[in-house]
Amino acid sequence: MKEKILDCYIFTLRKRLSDISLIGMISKIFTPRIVAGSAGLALLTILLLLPFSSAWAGKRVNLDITSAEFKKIPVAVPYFVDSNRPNEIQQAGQELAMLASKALDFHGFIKTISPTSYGGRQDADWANVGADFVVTVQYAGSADNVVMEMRLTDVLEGKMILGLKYTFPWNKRKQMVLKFCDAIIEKLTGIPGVCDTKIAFVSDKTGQKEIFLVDIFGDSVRQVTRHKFLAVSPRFSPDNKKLAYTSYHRGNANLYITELSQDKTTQAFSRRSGLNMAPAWTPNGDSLVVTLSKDGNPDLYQLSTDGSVVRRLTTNAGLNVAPCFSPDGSKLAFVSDRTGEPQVYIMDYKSGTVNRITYQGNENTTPAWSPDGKWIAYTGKDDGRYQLFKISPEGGQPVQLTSSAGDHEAPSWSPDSRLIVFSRAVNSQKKLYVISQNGKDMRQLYSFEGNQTTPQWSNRMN
Amino acid sequence: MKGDFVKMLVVASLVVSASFLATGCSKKAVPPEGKPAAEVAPIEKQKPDIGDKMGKTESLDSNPYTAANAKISEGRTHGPMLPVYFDFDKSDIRGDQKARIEGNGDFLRANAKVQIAVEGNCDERGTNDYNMALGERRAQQAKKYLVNLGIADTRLDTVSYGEEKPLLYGHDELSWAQNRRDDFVIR
Repeated sequence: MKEKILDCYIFTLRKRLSDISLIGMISKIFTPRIVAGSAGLALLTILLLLPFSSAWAGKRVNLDITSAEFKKIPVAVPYFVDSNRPNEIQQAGQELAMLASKALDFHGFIKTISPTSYGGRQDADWANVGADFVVTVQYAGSADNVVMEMRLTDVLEGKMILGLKYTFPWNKRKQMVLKFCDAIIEKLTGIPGVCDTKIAFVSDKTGQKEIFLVDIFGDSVRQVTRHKFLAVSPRFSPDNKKLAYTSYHRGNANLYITELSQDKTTQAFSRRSGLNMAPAWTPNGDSLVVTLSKDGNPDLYQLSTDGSVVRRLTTNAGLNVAPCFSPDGSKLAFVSDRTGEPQVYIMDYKSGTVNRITYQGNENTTPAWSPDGKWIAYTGKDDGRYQLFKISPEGGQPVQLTSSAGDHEAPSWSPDSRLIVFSRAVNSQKKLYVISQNGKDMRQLYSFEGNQTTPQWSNRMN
Repeated sequence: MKGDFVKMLVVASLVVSASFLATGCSKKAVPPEGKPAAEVAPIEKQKPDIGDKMGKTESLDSNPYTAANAKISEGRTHGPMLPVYFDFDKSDIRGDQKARIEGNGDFLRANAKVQIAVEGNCDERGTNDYNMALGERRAQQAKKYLVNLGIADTRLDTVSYGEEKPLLYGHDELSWAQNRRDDFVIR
């Protein structure tokens, strides 16, 4: 299983923080190697904990968390310990442990055990506490340079199964804890976690609808548009560097693309008469499919990255909207009302051949293809309310995901295909929720002011 | 909408519904007396020409059919034109709405310099993206109707607001019926 650890290690390096340079690191064969970084930035070293690499020989930990019967894994995250003061409980150690618990719980298949039930100590009797796994972290150092050793232990096997050591400035401690949590998720399931992702959404809290970005925990909200009129339908580019949206501030429903590395400018990408909206980027980013009405009917068009029309994809077949690519880019899911009612269709992107896949109910819209390619989530009208469903891209029997009160709309998948974010309207209040892909564990994500709608989950940021 | 308009909170539900009923085009039940039918949305109204300095020289012969001078008739439509209303999830011009759109055509024919935007709107039911396309088709249907009446299509823009700019914020058929609407707005 050494290979597994190394995969994780490489992944950790790839996900380095954008504003930190890797100045020194130890390569996977433990030979020091220097990577040049931009000057003046903090030192960040990532080391494997050597004792653990030799100890590693245990069974592969790869849990099947996709079944509806899956029971959450109990994990203990005792307070992080300052190695220089091992017998005191530090506030920082408590806060970071709480952050790690929140991050692990977010993924929907872990239930962390409250530290108060065992005093938050790292030497508790874990079998007695009821933990299957334990996350223990020690840290030591100054404000400039902190060394953090993080371990994941399998309680039943009595073995450490993941050990990582990070050196970083103290102000990066939260990012490093989240990085470790993503590595824990990967160790347990084979797929990294999604701590380093964002969600774009529309909010009316300023009085007009504008586009916002937020991390998954709701800690840092960024208002992207300030058009002060009406901005809707955010869509990330596959590399997360751009955000497309439709805004009406110039009197037409124009499609804009803004670079997220800055917050001053945007550019009209398509401003043809009528509707210009909701692009689906091809997964490799080389073209976009948008809905235009320039020829008199809302239809799908392929545009190149310079905004010119490459080809028209739908003609004389009702309205056509809400395009979404399969992860391999070979197929396009979209909504058409060509039969008189909106249903989900799949188009072979090359040949243009179209197949209808939803037949249950008379209103099915907003398809979202899961990143692992297995499912298409969508909004369906059921008994007068809007609920979320998923269906195989080959069609067949849909699986109903939500059934609670109110309207559930506009699903968007997490990059690990484990969670779906959507907006739910209850008592005229629209808020963002997540639900596990098996339809379990629906929860409200944020308690922001105003209404939040049409969420879009980014890919992993780095 | 043009920048000439500012949003003002106007208690306009009586005005709107009175004119609406007076035109004889409402099929909706009148809400029980004394019970508010729905919350009322702000109505955009033109900015009055006020300021500390003297105004610009202007014609003695005012044109009421400019974006700056036009008055709302009903919905967000500029008079003397009238909005047209749609059935749920439909975009065809209903028989009882044809007199309205033909009246709008007469107005446009008589005022050849007037440019308008046909603004399609939907009720809140259904997803935002779908409603955006549905509102666009409602606007396009009215545009086609006007073009068939002989109005040059270069005078007619379309804008769909989908469900994003409801006129009435209620969650009942009375609000929904008023929100499923094409407005005719002078540009």
